[in-house]
Amino acid sequence: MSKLRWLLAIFLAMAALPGTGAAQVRGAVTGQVVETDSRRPIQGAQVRVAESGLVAVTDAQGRFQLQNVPAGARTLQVSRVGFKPGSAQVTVGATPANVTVSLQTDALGLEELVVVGYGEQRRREVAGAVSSLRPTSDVTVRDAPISSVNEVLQGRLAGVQVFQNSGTPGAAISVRVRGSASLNAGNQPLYVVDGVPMIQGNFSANPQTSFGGQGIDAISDLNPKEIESIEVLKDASAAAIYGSRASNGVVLITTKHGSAGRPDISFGGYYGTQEAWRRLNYLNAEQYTQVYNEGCVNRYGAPCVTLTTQAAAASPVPSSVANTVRAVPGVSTDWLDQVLQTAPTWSLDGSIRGGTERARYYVSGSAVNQDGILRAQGYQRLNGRLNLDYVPTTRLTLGTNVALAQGIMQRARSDNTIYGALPNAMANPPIQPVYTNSGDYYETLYVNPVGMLNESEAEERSLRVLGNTFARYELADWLNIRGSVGLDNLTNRSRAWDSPNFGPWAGSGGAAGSGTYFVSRVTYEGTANFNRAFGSNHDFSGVVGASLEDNTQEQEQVQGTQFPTEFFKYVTSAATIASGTTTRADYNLVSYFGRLSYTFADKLTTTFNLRTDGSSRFGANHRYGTFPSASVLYRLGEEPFMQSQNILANLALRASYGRTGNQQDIGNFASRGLYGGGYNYTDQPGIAPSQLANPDLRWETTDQLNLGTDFSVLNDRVNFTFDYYDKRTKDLLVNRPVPQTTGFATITSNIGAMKNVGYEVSTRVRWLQGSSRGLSWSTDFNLSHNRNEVTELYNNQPISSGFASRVEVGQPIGYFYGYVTEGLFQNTSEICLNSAGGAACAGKHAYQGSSRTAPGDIKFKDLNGDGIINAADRTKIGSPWPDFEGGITNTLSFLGFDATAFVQFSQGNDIFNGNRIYSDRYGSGGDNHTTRALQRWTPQNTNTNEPRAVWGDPNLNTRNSDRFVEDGSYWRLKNAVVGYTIPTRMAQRLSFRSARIYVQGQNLITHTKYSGFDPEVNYAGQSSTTRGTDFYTLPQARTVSFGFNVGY
Amino acid sequence: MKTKYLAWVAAAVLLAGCDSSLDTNPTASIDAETALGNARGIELGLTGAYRGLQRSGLYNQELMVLPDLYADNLDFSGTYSTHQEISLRNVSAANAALSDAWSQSYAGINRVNNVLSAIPKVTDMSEAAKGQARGEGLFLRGLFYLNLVRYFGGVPLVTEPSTGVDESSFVSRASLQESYAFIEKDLEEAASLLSAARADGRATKGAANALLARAYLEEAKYTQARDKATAVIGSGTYQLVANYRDLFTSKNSSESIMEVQYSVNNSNSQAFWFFPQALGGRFGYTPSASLNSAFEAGDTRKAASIGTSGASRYGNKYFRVANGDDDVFVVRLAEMYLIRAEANAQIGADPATVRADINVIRRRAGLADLPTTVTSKQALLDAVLQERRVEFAMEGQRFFDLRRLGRAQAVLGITESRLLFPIPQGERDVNPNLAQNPGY
Repeated sequence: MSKLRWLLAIFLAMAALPGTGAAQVRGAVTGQVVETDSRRPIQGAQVRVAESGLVAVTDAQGRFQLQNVPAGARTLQVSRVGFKPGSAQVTVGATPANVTVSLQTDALGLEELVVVGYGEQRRREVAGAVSSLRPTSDVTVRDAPISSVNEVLQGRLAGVQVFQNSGTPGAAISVRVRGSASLNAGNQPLYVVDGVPMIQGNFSANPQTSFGGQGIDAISDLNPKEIESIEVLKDASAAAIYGSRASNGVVLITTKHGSAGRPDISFGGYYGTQEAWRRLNYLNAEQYTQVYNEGCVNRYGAPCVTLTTQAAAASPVPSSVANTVRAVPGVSTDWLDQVLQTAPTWSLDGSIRGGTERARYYVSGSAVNQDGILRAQGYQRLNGRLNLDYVPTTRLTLGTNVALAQGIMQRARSDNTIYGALPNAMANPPIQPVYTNSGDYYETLYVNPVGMLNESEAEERSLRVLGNTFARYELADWLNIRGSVGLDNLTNRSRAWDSPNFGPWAGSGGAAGSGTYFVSRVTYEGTANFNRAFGSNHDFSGVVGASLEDNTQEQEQVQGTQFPTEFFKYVTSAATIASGTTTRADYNLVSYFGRLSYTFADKLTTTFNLRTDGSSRFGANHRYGTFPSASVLYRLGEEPFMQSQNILANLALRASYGRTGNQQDIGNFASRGLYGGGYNYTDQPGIAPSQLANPDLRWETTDQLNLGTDFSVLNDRVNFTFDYYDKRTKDLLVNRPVPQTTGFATITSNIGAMKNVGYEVSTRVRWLQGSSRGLSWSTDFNLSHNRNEVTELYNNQPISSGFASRVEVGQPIGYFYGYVTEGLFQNTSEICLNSAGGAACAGKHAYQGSSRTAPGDIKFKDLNGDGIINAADRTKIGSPWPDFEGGITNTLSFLGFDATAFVQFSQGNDIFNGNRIYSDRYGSGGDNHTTRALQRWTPQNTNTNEPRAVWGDPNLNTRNSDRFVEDGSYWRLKNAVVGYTIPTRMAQRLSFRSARIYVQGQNLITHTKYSGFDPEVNYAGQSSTTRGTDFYTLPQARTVSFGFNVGY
Repeated sequence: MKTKYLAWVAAAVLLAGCDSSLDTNPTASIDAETALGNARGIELGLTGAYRGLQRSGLYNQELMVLPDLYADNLDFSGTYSTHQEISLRNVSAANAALSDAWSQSYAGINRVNNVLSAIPKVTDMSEAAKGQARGEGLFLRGLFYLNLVRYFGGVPLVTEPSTGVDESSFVSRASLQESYAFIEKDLEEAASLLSAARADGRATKGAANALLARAYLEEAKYTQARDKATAVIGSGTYQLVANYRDLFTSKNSSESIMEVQYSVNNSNSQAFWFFPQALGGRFGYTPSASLNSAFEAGDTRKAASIGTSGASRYGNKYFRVANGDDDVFVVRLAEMYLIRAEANAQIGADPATVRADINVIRRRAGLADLPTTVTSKQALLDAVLQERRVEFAMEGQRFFDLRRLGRAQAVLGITESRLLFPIPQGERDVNPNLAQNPGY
């Protein structure tokens, strides 16, 4: 109800608008805007007549024309992104006035407006650590076949670490702003689009298919082509105004808006092909047979793989082993060839922006299509956007931003499942064929991957409505009030079908299911922005406001089994409804916030932020949390003594300290003691205790210190930004283990602490800066270093996750833990077969539980020297976190040609290659091996680190050890673009304003020592506790595409 | 101008009135304090406690599998190291199947404890209804503890509901004798409270007595075991089915004393894990060659227990792979005959009496009577062990039979320290008061 009243208040405020003024004498002004040094005309500059609301935009010759300007002495204010603002005095009368205004290039962007929380600031007054990106002005973003805003961020902003978890089209991407600050409560930043906090997360309602770690993310509905600017708020000073959701940083996205002037129509598109950039080499049938027979001989004294059709004679090999590796004579299957493909990708997009002084518009539409390099996968998306601004009177602006998106994603089981096509193509023996002689799927060791792709479907269809409507009224020239209502609405429909004709589902007669997730967020927000100067030296600006956010999530799922034939794919034809469920959850957030910024003499800026959040998720004893921050910016470069030297320019020093929170994934009712329903028996309803109460539950708290500096040298040709931060997170939300004799495994508690300390450098070098068609060359470089350390856990008990990942005090989150290898046993005298250890084993290696260790097996280090190898001999064997990461972009242009190369790198991180647990278990289990198996130990080949082949792996050579920890450092030519812009005159003859064609390559070169498919890998998706682990994960694609951009 | 300021201030004030929107409620749960406050709550809570039997570490899968896989009835044929460790009889304290059995049993015990402590406070229930509800609760608690004790030896005895975590949550293990004494007490009281009438899938007097027979036999209290078995057999409530296979193809047969009920909406994964891939299963384990050859010629139980698909043997007692709605036995009448035979053999009763009970089971399976030459105690116990192996294959008895009769070390080639499973490592990490079993 209160929302309605509140809306009413906005309309009341709007109703009280002043009328237009009385008629006056008017005249015309024409002129030109040029660049100061080169006198080149500047297109697209906005010329505004002060205190009149009249605006014009310059054309390609830099010319503008203003009609109906009130007579008298007027000031023209001229602005253009990339230039320092300029102004000119003009006397308007009966005869048209003519004026030329020159603008200075703003190489450092200091005059640009930067979007900060609930407002804008000039870059030169931003005291916090804010990184900005304009996707459309960066060709490696604009022309690359990337569909997600998170891909845009990768490698381009210092301190923003983006990991592609796999090559799955449309799948979620991990983003970390200044490292991971949480164990369980989520580590993705908060995304705010045009002021509306966006729904994010995985809302797949698929009832029956497992996708391992490769989830979907509601962020992918956003089209990067619609984005004007992205600001990432990294430190507490910038982010604290987003309070209890800002610990992981805030990504502010501003979409494009129209500007007054001739319609600007652009159109673009590309077509390309993708393929896996690397193939792993697996054994062929002959090599496989040899390794397995060796494994069986070493264990049972007889070979087990026979390539003849004769019935096996009596053999000491157990039939279960012989059955596992049963061969079909004459077969050597390359399974990866059967599931991977060269896949097309294309995109088309168009937009119009324009308007008048009173009404401005931006309309865009785009279509993206990406087929997967794994057959059966694919992603298609349609986007449309309409952004309108209407100025009914000089003081009032009404606006609306509306985006519609439809995403369709074809998915396949992946990663950690024995039904995945890629995992099974990697693991299946080459001695088994795809089809039997009668054309059925051959029953392979692991479910036939070709059958998996052909006989199974999984699809997500999402419909997204994201928009807001606002009214802004200028109460005084220093005070605006703004009210807005934002809506983010996601409907995600999931469907799955598994054929009754195929192995795993034959038993249940096929399975099909559908699910829907309906997620909505309505945001009501009221703010007052002020900006007032007192005298020439005292500037005050800031904002106060309040907001209310209503969230609703509804989910329904139904699944059926027992289908008549494979042609029936929907539950309506099922004989059995195996499950059906609907659920709903609500949570709300009430917030009050403010910012006060004071600038003295354009030199010293101090900013204070404060936000109070009340959340329905917090426990009864902690309903509200308060998040303050403060920062100081000293523009030392403005001091006279700095002006007298010309080595260092624009020197600024920044410091900030503040507090932010995190309440992602806390659970909507985690603080309450609950009895859950659904504990049914004999088809009667039942209830059972489901959760222990914790009324003290609250948000995670991060205190962050930021010290930074910006400066430029060589006449602004080179500029630097450097930041150091120290980020301490406490009250970590942990599902703290409790004795299970209580009937519960965990209780959600605020226990634990973590710190992230690091620094970031970014620099831009303008080596050469020619005129419009002359040679110019610039380089952007950014580098980040982050050190994470867990400083407190419940009872300081370590937590294990994934394969070898572990969280422990004093170590980085998710470090790798396991045994240490020290070569192979070369003779029996080193081995003690008494698996209990003890005195008889003195001086030898005894393995707990193993009585079959033999030469060729791995010697694991007895770290505690107790004479027996057991769980106590595990230690740190690696870390998934890099020492350094970053990116380098080189941009060259000459005579209409442009070339851009973007290299992204990561140095010092390890990868736990979990594939090898199975693929390097030589001669055991039936899995195919990579050609690394050819280096295995044999009595003839003893100078190696690869262990012997033996069925059953009795020594557990494949236990989690440093054997599988590999250097995951890499550098990658992420994008290279070469384009040609047709000369303006020729373009105009073809009735284009501009036209450009280009060829683009993605992931063209990758340099890494990692032996798996791809060093950009996380089988567990966005998880921070299980990081940098490869487990049958789909690699990135290498893409080559051709495209064009034209403007009218 | 002033009105506009006021409008803005009004907007801010109105927003401030939104505090009540922070009070949201779940739609699939209720607050714990009020959940069990009346007769309906007790009924729902008891149903929830029965549901506790159906979890993966218990009757959904592992309780029927682990004792056979750890012994010689099943071979490992899957991919999970959890089961591989069990089949290699080299079990780590981190084994997930064992920690599931531990945590899920105690979760069930907590559900029972909540119900037991709530019953006296409920005002809208008759004393008779309260007695029946208490009897069902005690039966379930006894069953959860009996399963725990057979895996782990003496275990912590938790008798009060958990509302939070404090010092008292960090319990220690009771001795084996104390644990059995507690189980006896729960089950004896349950037997005195429960109705004798059959009730599909629920606790009855007969079920409590049958579990007592099993518990007394494990404790080597042979006369009590014999008497309880006799009580169940003599009650007349249960009869052996004529055709062994009917035990599995029909639910709640006359022989069933208690079986955990499954339906399509409430399914288990027994068949899924036993069945080969070609039949829609995961084939996690396969009947061993030694089990296969343990059946005498003409034994109708062989075909009722083991199927073949291509070159593979698979367990087919649980066969409803499509819907996963095979019921799973907690206890059935045949076991009472064999408990009585074993108890009588141990006591030294007339060999003919012992043979008579065994022969009841053999005749039903289409086999001839035991030769009358089987008279020594050892020969009689051997006959019981053999009969139990083929009668209860894949019903979660084999390892306990071998252990109880002192054969586990010889038959399975394990040391004495491997006669009990390890206390789950994760639990010991959290609760330092829990001692580990020797040898782990």
